Amino acid sequence: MRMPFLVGETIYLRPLESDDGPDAARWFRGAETEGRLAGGLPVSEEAARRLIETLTRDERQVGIAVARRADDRLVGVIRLYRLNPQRRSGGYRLALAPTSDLGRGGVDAITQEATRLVLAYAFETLNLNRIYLHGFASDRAARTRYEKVGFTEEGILRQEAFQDGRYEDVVVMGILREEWARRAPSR
Amino acid sequence: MRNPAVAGRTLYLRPLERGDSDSFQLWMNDQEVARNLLVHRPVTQDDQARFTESAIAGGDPTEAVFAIVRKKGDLLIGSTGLHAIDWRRRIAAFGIEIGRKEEWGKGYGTEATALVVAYAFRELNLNRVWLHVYEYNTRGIGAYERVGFRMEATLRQDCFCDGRYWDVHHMGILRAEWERAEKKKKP
Repeated sequence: MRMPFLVGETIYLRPLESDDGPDAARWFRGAETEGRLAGGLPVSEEAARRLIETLTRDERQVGIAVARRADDRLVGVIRLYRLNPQRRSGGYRLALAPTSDLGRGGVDAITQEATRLVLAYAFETLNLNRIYLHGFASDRAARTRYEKVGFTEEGILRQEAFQDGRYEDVVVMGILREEWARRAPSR
Repeated sequence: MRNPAVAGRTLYLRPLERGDSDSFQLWMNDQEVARNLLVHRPVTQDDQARFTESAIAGGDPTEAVFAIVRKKGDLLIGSTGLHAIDWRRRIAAFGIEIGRKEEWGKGYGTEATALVVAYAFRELNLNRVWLHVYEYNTRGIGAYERVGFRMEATLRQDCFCDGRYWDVHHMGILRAEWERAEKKKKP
């Protein structure tokens, strides 16, 4: 493992470095409904590196890289964003490497393991109370994946995203600290 | 010994160097190490480099930061120092981190703490050194007590770690106490 921050069984989380920028920019563009690193505009590799530096220096955000334990390969990028210390809430976003690189099962396994690690960190170290995420409503598989780790669907934002020439509905999912604590009674 | 500033029995303290940065980054991301410190986010190469560079550059009269090096094998094992030095009141805050976990439990923390306290009183001519230690850091508390720090106050629930609040102990050592103890040691 290179520079482990939080360690899971098959993956680990490590600091997001500026050299991860080009992959991060590509993967977020594919997966995101909101707050793309540059709002859909083209991002050069150099600009992507700078975006990561800005992100990791921003106190209202935490950038984290997801790497595979077997080969240290970067397989995903995480942003905790809009961290609000008064409400103790924050947004969560996980962008994974293309499915073709991970395999179908890989997506499920990595999403669940990375999300569990991030939630433990968000609630037990950052002392947050609520984590939410936005996803394409049409992506049923993703909704199921996040339900499995404890997120609840809270509503649909109609035509909140625009992609491939059309508007898309966005689903909001959230998990509260008390819900998470009931699921993970360890410690 | 390379550029020693303060030499002890098995350790010496020296100024930080650029080449130390990778080791420090690894340790700052290690949760077993970080839970005793003030670091709660992933530490990137950039974060660590900025910290190391500012320590190398010097010029801040309120900071005295050292690398802790084991004499045997000239091995970097951590960092320590005085922070928030107040030259009028002649007080400073003490901090330490033994990042190399294989070297825990060998008395290096105690030795390094004693070296910095001696440096504070004998070189910097300070009058008081204080520190904060989390209640679960029993190894740290033991080391500080052996060096002569006294428990002065307990800040109730001042720390959040592993999903709950913990007390923080405020410890201090005065120059007069330290001088008395030194005299007893060397009759």
